This record gives sequence, structure tokens and C-alpha cells, in this order.
Amino acid sequence: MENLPLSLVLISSIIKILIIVHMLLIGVMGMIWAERRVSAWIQDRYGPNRVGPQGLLQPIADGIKFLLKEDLIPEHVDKVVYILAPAIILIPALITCAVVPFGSEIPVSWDGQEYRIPLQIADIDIGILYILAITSLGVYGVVLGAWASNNKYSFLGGLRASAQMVSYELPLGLSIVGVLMLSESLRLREIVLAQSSFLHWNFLTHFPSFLVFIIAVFAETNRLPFDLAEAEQELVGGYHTEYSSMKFAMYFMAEYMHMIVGSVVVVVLFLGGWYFPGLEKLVDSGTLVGGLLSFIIVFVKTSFFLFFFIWVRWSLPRFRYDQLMNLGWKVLLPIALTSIVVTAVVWVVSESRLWVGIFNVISAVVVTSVVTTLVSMRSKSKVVIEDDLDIVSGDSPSFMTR
Amino acid sequence: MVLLVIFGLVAICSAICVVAFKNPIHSALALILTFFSQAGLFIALGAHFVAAVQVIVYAGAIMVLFLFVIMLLNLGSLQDTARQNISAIKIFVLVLAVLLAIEGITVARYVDQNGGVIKKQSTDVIIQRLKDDFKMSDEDIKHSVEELYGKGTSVSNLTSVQVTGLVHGEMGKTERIGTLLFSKFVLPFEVTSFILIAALIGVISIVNREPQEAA
Repeated sequence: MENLPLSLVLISSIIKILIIVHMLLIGVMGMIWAERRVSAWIQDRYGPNRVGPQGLLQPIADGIKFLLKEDLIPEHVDKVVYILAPAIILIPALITCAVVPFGSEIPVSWDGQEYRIPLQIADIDIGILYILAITSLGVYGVVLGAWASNNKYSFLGGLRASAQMVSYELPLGLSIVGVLMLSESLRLREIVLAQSSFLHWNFLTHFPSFLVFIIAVFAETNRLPFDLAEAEQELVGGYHTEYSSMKFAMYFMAEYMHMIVGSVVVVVLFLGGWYFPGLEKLVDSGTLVGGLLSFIIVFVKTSFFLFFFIWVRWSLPRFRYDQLMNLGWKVLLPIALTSIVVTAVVWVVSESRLWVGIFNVISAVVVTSVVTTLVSMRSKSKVVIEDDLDIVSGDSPSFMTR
Repeated sequence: MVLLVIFGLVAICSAICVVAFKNPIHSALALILTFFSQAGLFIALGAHFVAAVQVIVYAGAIMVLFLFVIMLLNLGSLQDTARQNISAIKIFVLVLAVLLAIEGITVARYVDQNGGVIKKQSTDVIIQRLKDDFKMSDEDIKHSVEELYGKGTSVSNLTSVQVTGLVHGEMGKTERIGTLLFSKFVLPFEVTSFILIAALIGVISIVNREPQEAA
């Protein structure tokens, strides 16, 4: 990167930004279509198949409908925050992809010289920390929208969302520390380069962290089984009950964008990025074919994960709120913390990924069983349900007086 | 420099908004903006790691909890309560502002007279400090210099401005911060984490009290 001329850097960055932002938007459309078709397939229905071939134009029809609908602003809302909130949720979803590598390198001739352009908008020193920082801001859109709506159901959704996201950010951040220790860098590009052979793929070495990370990503994107913030059966629409037309669509788009970015990050951190067994040399060769192939590999892996998101949504029921909190604090957090200690110690002692992988799995099993035993012993000796009920039914805050 | 001024102005304006807004939620939003412009200031100074940590810890975690608590307590607009003792507060603010201004001027003059910490020392001393504090080998330094000032630049013929740039660039890097934390500053680092753990245990023991006491 350092030896590219400034003009080339500028032009290539602008092109990359345009391509990636458009791919995200088109990806959102694709996801809306896929969600409806796959859910239909899982439930043995047809799904939307009238607009265009296989219903592919359905998202466009949906989009036009959202744009043409009346943009309703209810009387009792806090106007500034109400209008700001959908924008606040969309911005973090869009700018996280700035540091994610979408492929290896492609060659470009410029001023008669050959240069290699990395398929990534910015390779910054703090890489993964940037992603953690930006994703932690996604919760504001939900919470502020919920509060500004001045509606009990929205408000409950917002409270649930904020508590959930703060709780799951911890395991999300801690589960990648082991990966960072073995990659010896925060740069996403170097994390991928460290996984250049299949046995070095991080999900093998850090299997428990991998599971923790995926679960935390599900919680951060507010997807089922963690979609308590918008639980239809209890909260009407949750935090976006009062939103209509394009503002609602922005919440909708942000959710799918979070999913796409989350899947790419999982692929980059744990599933070897643009590497595929047998194609390592070609992908890193710096030729046009290699560069495009690397992009396709990332695309395919990401698509698989997006399918997994939909698959889980239509297979699992929703968690109860206390189950959600117990899972986050009493299972995921201890597993993530132990994996840090175990990875560090075993790596220093043995310097072998095999042993790190084995000890990670063993320690995760031990920790989970110990914690669940302790929890079940405690809950037998005490009745705590009454306390919990007080918070819900007792002196509830009056939302309508502001 | 332009970035510093922009982010500084935004930080000051939003900080004033924090105390000026009547609605606590709006104040909290302004506070978030203040934290962001602070992160921007850190980035303008080349301290990317600190900026990221600022956003993760303050904007991402602490302010979410602030919002959570404000919403849960359902604080209304502050109207009558805040109007009391206004003259006493005014005097206090005035004195505080004067003190802060004096402090700022003193610090700026000190830095100006000493020409920063780095300029005064010779190139060799600075390079030696890079090796000692950051545990950089000759190879590392050569690599960093070439990355900053183009291929073929050697360490020996750098100007003093270039050396300053090199040190600033290195100080922002996450790797150097990690090295410093676990070598030179390992004791303060560990003590801080012990204090945090003590606080954590304290909170847990308070929350975990037997329920029959409350009844």
C-alpha cells in the first residue's frame, strides 16, 4: 500500500467505496428476497414468485412501496430524535465495511507501471477494534428510536435491546482475543494472511470462541432467537412500532446490513477469509484471476453464513429474557474468558495450534459444566422469581409524562 | 491542524449543549457527540488506538448505560430545580473558568519553551529511546522509516522534523502501546487492573446479599 502513488490510491478508493456500498445495498435486496423464499421453502410454501422471475423483483416492488407511502410522524413523538434515530442506525451499518477485506489483490497498470491494489477500502492499524467500536454504536438507533416514539411497547423494546446489546458486546469482543494473539495483529488483512493453510483456519484452533462469536453476532444483529426487542407477539412491533414508510425501511435495511457485515467478519476472522484448500497459491498470486477468485471465495462463504442466519431464524423459537441474560453472562462470557487464558498459556508452552485447539475445547466443556452446575445448585436453594416480577408489574415508570 | 480545530470546536459546542439542554436525553446525546469529537481529536493526533478505545468504552458502553438509566428513571425536563442557587453557580463557574484558562496558558507556554519533548534531543538519542522503550530492532526502525518517507531513506540522514514524525507515527501504533504496557508500564497497568477487579468483587458482593435481609 505504501508505494502506491496518491492519485491511484484516491481513484481506486473511490471505486472500491462505490462498489462495496452498492454491493451492500443490493445485498440487502437479495437478502430480503432470500429470507422470504427460504422461509417459504423451510415451511413448504412457495413464497413470493410473481414479480419477475422467481420473484426476484419483489424487493424492488417493496422498496417502491416504502418510498411512495405517506411519511407519518405521530403527534406525541420527540421530533428531532425520532427523525434522527433511523439515520443513526444506518450509518454504523454502512461504515463498518470500510476496513473489511473483500479479497486479496488485483494488478493494475498505472503510468506504465504495475501496481497491486488490495481489495479493501482502508487497512488501518486498529482494524478489528474499529469494527467493534462502530458496531457498539448500532444500539443507539434502536434505543433512541424507541424512546422518541413515546410508546410503551417501543420503550420496552428499546430497554430490552440496550441491555441485550451491552451484555453481548463483552463476549463478542473477548472471543476474538485468542485469534488476535495467534495472528499477532489487529489488521484484518494480516489476520487473513495468518490463515493461509486450512489447518491454520481460526475456527479449528478456537472452536469455542468461534461459537461464542457467532452467537454474539446473532444477538448484536437482533435476529431470532435474540429478537426480543421486536417480539411481535408481546410488543406489537417493538422499537419500530411507531415508524412507517421509509423510516421503517431504514431500520429494516440496517438489520440486513448488520447481518451482511457480521457474516463477512466471521468469514475473515474464523473461516480463512479468501483462502480455500487447494487454491491458496492462485489466490495470492496477484493476478487478475487470483484477485477475482479470492473475491468470489469470500462472497460464497459469506452467502453461506447469510443462509445460516435465515435458517436459524426459521428453525429456533425465541429466548425468554432471563434465559438470554443467563446465556450471555453465565455461559458465553466464562467460555470467552477461559479461552483467552488457555490460548495464551498453551501457545507459550507448546507453540502448537493442535494443542491450543484441543485445550480450548476441553476447557470450554469443563467451564460450561461447572457453571451450569453452580447455577442450578443456586436456583434450587433460592426463590428469586418474586423479585423479578416486582420490576415488571410494580411501580412502572409513566412514559407519557415528559 | 484543520481537523484539530474542527473537532475541538464541535467538542466545545456539544459540551456546552450537555449543560444547556433541558431534556436529559438530549443532554446525553450531546455528551455522546462530545466523546466522538474527542475521538476525532485523538485521531488527528495520530493516536488511533486511544480513539478506538474511547469510542468502545465511553460512546459504546458507558453512554448506553447512561441512556438506559435515564430512560428507566424517566427523568422529566429539569425546570424549577435547576433554577435554584443560580448566582452561586455562576460565581463558581467563573472562578473555575479562570483557573482552567491559567492552567492551559501555563502548560502551553511550558511546551512552547521546551520545544516539545522531542525536538530538544538529538536524533541518536531519540532512535536509542525507540529501541529501548518500544523494543524495536534496527530492522523495524528501517522498515518504519521507509514506510513513512519512501524507499531508500536511511535513518542517519533524517531531519529533526522527520524524526519527530517517525516518533509520533510509532507512538500511535497498537503494537508499540502493547509493548510499553507490558514492559515499562507493567506495574501501573497491573495495579489498575487489580483496582478494577476489587471494584467488580465489591459490586458482586453487594448485589449478592441474602434476600431475607431485604424482607
